[in-house]
Amino acid sequence: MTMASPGSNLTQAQSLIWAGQQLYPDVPLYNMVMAFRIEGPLDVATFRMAFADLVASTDVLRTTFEDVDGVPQRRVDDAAEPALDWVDLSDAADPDAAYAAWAHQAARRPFDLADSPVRTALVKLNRNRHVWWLSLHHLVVDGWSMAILYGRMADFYGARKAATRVEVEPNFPSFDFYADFERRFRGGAQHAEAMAYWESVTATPPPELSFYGAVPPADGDPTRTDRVTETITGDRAAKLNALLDEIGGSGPLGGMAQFGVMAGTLFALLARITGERDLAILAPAMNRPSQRFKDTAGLFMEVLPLHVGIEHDETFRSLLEKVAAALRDLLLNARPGTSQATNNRAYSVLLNFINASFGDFDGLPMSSEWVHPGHGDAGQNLRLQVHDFDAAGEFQLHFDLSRDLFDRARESLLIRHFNSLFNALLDDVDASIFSVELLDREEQQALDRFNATEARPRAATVLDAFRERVAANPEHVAVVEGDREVTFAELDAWSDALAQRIRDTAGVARPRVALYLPRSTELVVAVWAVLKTGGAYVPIDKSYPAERVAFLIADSGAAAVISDDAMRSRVPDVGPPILSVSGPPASRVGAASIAIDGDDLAYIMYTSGSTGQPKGVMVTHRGLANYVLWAETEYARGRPASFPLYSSIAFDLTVTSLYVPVVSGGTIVVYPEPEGNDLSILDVFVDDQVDVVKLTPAHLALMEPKLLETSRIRTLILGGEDLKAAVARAAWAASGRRLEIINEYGPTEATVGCMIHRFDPENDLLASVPIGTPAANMQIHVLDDHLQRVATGVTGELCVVGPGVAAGYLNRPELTAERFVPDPSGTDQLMYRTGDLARWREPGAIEFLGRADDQVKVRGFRIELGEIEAALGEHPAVRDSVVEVVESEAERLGAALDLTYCVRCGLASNHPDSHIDSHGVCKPCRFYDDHRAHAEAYFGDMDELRQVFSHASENEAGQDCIMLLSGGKDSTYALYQLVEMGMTPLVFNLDNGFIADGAKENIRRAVDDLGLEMVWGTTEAMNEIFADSLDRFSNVCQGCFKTIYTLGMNLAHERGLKFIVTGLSRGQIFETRLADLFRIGIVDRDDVDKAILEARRAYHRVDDAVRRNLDTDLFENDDAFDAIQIVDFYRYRDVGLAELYHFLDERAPWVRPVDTGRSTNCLINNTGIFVHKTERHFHNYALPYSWDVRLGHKTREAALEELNDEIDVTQVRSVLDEVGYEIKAEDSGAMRGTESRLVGYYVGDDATLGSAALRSYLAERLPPQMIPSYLVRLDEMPLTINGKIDRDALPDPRLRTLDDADYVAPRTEVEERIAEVWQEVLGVDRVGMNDPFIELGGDSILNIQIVAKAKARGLAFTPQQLFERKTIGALAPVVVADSPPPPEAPLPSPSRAGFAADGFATAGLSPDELDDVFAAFGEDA
Amino acid sequence: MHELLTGFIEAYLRDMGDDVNLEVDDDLASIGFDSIGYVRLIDHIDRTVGIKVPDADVTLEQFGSVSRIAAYLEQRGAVAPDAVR
Repeated sequence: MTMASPGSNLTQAQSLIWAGQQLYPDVPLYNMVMAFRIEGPLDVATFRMAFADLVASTDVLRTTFEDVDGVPQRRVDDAAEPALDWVDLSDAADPDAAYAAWAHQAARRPFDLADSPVRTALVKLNRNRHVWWLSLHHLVVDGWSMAILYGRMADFYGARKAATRVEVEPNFPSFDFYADFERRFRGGAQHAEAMAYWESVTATPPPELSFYGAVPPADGDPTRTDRVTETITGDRAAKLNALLDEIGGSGPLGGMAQFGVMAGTLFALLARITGERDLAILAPAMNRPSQRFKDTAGLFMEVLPLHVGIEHDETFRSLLEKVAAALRDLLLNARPGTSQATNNRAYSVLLNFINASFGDFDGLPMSSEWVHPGHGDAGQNLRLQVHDFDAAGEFQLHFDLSRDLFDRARESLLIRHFNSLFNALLDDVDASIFSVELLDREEQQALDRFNATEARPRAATVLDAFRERVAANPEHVAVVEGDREVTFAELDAWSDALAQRIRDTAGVARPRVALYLPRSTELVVAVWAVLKTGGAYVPIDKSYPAERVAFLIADSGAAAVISDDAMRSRVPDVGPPILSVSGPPASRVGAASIAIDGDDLAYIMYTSGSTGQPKGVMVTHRGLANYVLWAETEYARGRPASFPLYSSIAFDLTVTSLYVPVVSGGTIVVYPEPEGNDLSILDVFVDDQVDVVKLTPAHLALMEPKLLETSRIRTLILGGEDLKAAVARAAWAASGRRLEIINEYGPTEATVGCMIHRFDPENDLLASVPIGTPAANMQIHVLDDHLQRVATGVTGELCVVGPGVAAGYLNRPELTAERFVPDPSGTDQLMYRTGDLARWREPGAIEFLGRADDQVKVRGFRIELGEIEAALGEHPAVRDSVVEVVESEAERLGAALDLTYCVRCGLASNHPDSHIDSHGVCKPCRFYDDHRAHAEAYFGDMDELRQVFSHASENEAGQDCIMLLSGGKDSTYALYQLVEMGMTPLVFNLDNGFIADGAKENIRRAVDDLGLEMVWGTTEAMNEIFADSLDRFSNVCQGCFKTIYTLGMNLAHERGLKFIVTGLSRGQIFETRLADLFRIGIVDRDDVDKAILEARRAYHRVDDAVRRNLDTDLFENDDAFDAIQIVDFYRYRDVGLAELYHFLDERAPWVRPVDTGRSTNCLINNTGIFVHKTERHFHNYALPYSWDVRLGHKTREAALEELNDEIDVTQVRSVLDEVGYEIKAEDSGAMRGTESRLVGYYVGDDATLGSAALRSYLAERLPPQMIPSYLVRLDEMPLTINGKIDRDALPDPRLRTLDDADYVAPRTEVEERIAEVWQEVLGVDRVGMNDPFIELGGDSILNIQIVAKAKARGLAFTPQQLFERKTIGALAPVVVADSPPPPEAPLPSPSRAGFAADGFATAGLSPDELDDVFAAFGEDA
Repeated sequence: MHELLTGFIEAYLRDMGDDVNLEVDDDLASIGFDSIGYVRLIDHIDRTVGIKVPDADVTLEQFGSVSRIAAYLEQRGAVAPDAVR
């Protein structure tokens, strides 16, 4: 629980605001700004006197705030006189526009709280119109105070004007007096009782809310907000007031009723757009507790959480009643000093309600405006501020929306949805909140168009389609298996014969027949034979354990089992007769003509069932024909298509390969089933005998890219699980951009596939490939749990209607009724609820979001965790069990195709520092979010650069600096700008032997154009330097750059030049100079510069090939680094890419490389990239480019495109030979990917029950893909407070240790010292190194105290670092401690991974080493 | 009933730092008794007298002063807890 700091004289509410402000010291989070527009003649001198009276009578206007050793202190200065600025805009061409511009700026100016929390002005627009501008920090006022101050100002003005005696001595208590009262109250029993209540409320925080699937962008700022204002007037206001009268709006509780209606609408909105049911918002309690404080200005408001649970049958009326009851509880416990952390991110929505009356200004008409400062507390994404300033029953609704989450589209969705619900509430308060239509007409029409899929299949059943092919082309080969070929006519005759035998054996009409035989020509014959009997087949996988086979035969009511000689003995004896497929008939038997109806079942396919038994999906002939004939048009496209039959026919995916080749007149190529692990899919690509392959994304990731290059295969159909765009893109690229890649979506219950999307490499840029549009005659809906269509952006369940929908689950009427429901749009069809989550990105574009339940996909197999749990639970010694999925790193054959890329910057998941989170955002992006402000403070402008160069002096050649010119766009632009500034650079570059002619030409042209001297540096040791660089860093750039800097420093020294100017982009500056320093808490500009200088010294003293071969005497002397400064041009110049190119086009004879990739400038670069990828398994430009994207220097798409190198390996080998470097640990490009693995946790009665015994027990009951990879025995199941299994507390099976004690003692001196500070501030006896700060009761205020106290003891870190790192163990490595480095401290190691390609600053220094560097120049740094 | 109401309101205001000597016909709004006070009072009435007061009943006519509240409660059939004993 957050409490005011001990020793502080701030109130609880002030402490929270103080803490929030400390996180963003220079951002106007809490500017309370009112503009009072006064019409008529205003006496300015009188106004000034009145303002002086106001200040004299109001202590908060004379209050300052200061941090004293980490404890905020409030001080009232009796003599303070905040200035009333005079702003005269009456001469402006358009005074109103001038005022708007001025107000925009003025509202955003932050306060220096140590100086004054007040900023005010009188603005003249014309003789008869003035604005009294009053901007106050929230620390000193609440909304009500604004009315007090205004009213008092008007009174003083009136009194001064009338020249009556003015009494400035207040007849109400000061805020200071209230603060004392509040502090005493906080020590009392009533406060303690209220706090106990709030602790119980916040013990169950609300779920995180997703607003239309928004993810914060790369250049985000969680404090930025945009205001959208809605007004409630006229008819709506009248209806609202009528409603308020009905529910008690006029008496002392009228404000509550008004608030309640707004809160009710807001809760309804949140329920509808987030799908959550346990909702909470933050709400204010005015809390001027007695009459004498009614006239005191100050922050009295307490902000408290308001929780409401939404029911399935919620009406607006029932919701308003709940809100009223919750509000009563809130007010009962809204005692002074009970404010809850507004910066608690669990509460991301706030509703504020201010009905204050302002009145006229001493008889002059006045209109007031609450001005939005463009920022707000980062804790809330949505703040609704409702104002009724004139108490006229007409409301202004200001939606202050986090710009990170609400783009224009989401903003307008939110307002539209709020209005729809609010209007519905006004129209009928008894309506269900779930019945309100949130889609507008256009959206509804777009969805109707999306589902307009009507098409007439060319045959009623697959049998009819098959017979057409037999008749048309009887001698065409239908099935190939090795040397065996079976024609259409033979397949037809053979299956007729078998059908006859089945009928004879089964002895019933339309029998169900289990197919328990390996993949073979006979299997294909058996499938057609069963269909010809009018019956349905039940496919059973060869690998299933006997118990499961017995269950399937019994449950399906099979009248016969078809098997073969080898498997026959494994058929459990459960009754039905067993048939073999004998050879082809010698002569044709007459085909019995059985009429088949669309409703007849074609097959029953079993899928994993959550209750412990698999469930049989009854697929109809109508569904099968609809799918297969649609698939034929999509995949075969009017030509005979050959498909491989390589997967289990008990797997839904295989249906496509079993039927589409036959109905298209093509050929099934059968891949027989091996014993053991079945990877026949690999043979399919090696053999290259087919046109179309249907496979899972997991299968595709197994492919050797080379095989796709020259393959006959023209189309890949991906199904079974989420298709990552990276996988599709890699396969497409490997095929020479030739392959057609199709993503097919569909559950077994909707017959294989009901949606389709052709992968579009240009436009499919999200992590997953879209699932596309409905199949023929199918309709796809995204519905909420009321089976209402969800609005755009809102998550719902994918539901399917159409002929493909199965007839239900065999023998499972309850489950069938739950998942197969009547089509809500009123047709007589069934709708299948898939349990898959999705949303409309825009009407017509579905985004797939995964499962709503415990169903998981492991390697394409659909698995209900509950089924495995049930099987575990059946073991007599297992008392409790739970099954989870973990993502494991997996080595793959061939290239790792299933990478994910940060949604903001494109950094790939194989980068060791990427750590992409559930929002798809990488760790460097999150790091950047936290340090943008520091970076901005570090960057300067051109004036500052001029200031730097004012110390320059000319040498005898008239030169004043060295410019490092690579010939690329950045350095060329910088060179021109330098010259434009009046500088005369000596141009320098290294000829490393691999500079491209184009780059050399660009350099020559620029130098000639500007009339500058150019020096090309060279060294004979270049190859040795490259080899050393490859050895240390697996790249070539590092060595090259160090050579450039070394030669450049020497050149500057020789020529008497004080400056070396670089063209590093801002992204490169951030990455190479700033990131590491920020990470260890060096953020102040001067500290950064000092640390960079120190790093330069260390960098040039590392013993490497450069040092061994070049003249480095200069670097022995520390002063050399001060004498020759490195100046990063782009530190002082922020220029957009477009502007930069435009400038170069206009001004410079610079030729843009045809290929914009980096490889055009330097021909050895590809070698470095190849070595890096091979040795370190990721691209060495991935991180640098991600910084370019973050800093706006590249687009994400361009970065991804440029990283997609095509490297000529032969050329690389010859360069490596030339340089003399041998690649280490070459493993043909194997890279890491991830794979889902099952983990079974169990609590056993019998201590001897080991995982091996349990594993073999499970193997008898479950198919192989359902056996957990890990079986972990627990002493007891970890439970949440609510008694549910606490899944987060389950141990990671990969990190298990024998000793499970939680406490980890400090291991280093720094850890020990931090632990002492934590213990003191948090008031706990012992802090373990892995104990999370939050769980020890930490919050933002305690955080700041810890940082201050630690600083006093020589331990430097930031509040953000503490929040981010959570534990002392994680924090300690980034703490800058004041003790000197031990004398035996190792030399800076150059081997650090992730090191940048360009630059030198923190190059090669680990954070620890940087600590040492920093510590070396002392505490004052 | 008057004592019960007056006692509660006076105690509440005293906790909030105001010593008020309340007369039964005093206008509660003018002594700073606001929505938080009313919510507490209604809660108190529920717990001591056993009468639930809907928000809509809290009008100035019925709740503007101690005497009006007492009249309202009596009309709702309330019996002061002292009388019950």
